[in-house]
Amino acid sequence: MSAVWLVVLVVGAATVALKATGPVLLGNRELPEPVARVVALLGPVLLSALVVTQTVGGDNELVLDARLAGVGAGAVAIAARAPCPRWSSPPRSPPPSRGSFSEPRPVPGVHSMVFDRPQSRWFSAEVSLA
Amino acid sequence: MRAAIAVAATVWFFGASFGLLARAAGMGVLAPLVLSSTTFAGSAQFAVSSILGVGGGTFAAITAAVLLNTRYAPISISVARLFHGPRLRRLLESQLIVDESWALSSRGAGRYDRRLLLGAGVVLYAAWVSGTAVGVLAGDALGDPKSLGLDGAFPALFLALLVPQLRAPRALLAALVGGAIALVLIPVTPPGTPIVAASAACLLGLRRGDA
Repeated sequence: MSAVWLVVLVVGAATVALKATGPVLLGNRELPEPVARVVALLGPVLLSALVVTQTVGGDNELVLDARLAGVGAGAVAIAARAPCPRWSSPPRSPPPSRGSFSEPRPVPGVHSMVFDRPQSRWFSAEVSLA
Repeated sequence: MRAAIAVAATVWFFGASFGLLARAAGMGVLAPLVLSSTTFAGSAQFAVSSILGVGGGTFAAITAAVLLNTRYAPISISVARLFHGPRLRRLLESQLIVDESWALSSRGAGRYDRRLLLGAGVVLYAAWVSGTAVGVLAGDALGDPKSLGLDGAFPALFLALLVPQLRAPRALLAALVGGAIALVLIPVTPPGTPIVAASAACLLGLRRGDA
């Protein structure tokens, strides 16, 4: 087996296993409350780390380049038009079911994020700015 | 889902870029496609093609890619409760988890939209694999997405998805600590490690209290 195929197969198998970690080991069960609180914070923590590493991350160094300007412009856009992505109040009753590829349905009782026009406009403006 | 389609267009260009680089790195046609189909994670695949391209060795390529993808352990744990049914089904569905589908499906306070996670995952998977196919076959006709400034798009998207999640003081504190850990570790650890280490900040959730 060539070196290329060895890399492809090992990396592929490892990634399949890593992505399956949570769903295969922890799916079908409710977590104890303290663990659930820790897991709930994984979202903001990992998003924050992704923002940092993808904005200034280099090969063992911090790199300040156009990415930083792009993300800075994005931060300004978010601050300037604050409800973006806008927050919608939950409806009284659950909306009718739609296909899997429709807009996300708001969860009753939970404020949910709705991607509407401002979000899309902002994102396309960002792509050209960055 | 509209946001997912906008993201998919960018992902397609990066897939094409990966295919192009992988071909130039001597990986042939089939191997990059198999890598995109099984790994489905941009940064690790770019690491593989660039390390093999400069003759960096099998071990280095595997280590870098696996380290980069270690973040999928905590990411997949965060959405584990969305997955039900037989083990094989959970295994297959979990392969649709990728940074962007996970981030788009995030609703704050530890909630995620299962249909958006899987729906966006399918669209992005199709974009990534088809982009790779075009890249390995089309060659230099396509430009470098980095020269188009597209590499600033993903962190800006993640930031836009992060901000609405920071209303709870505890989430804000955890995000700041996690970001700080990542920032400090970028210069001193291999790529991939800072994100995994940053997930330690979610231990702030062990404290009792509402926020």
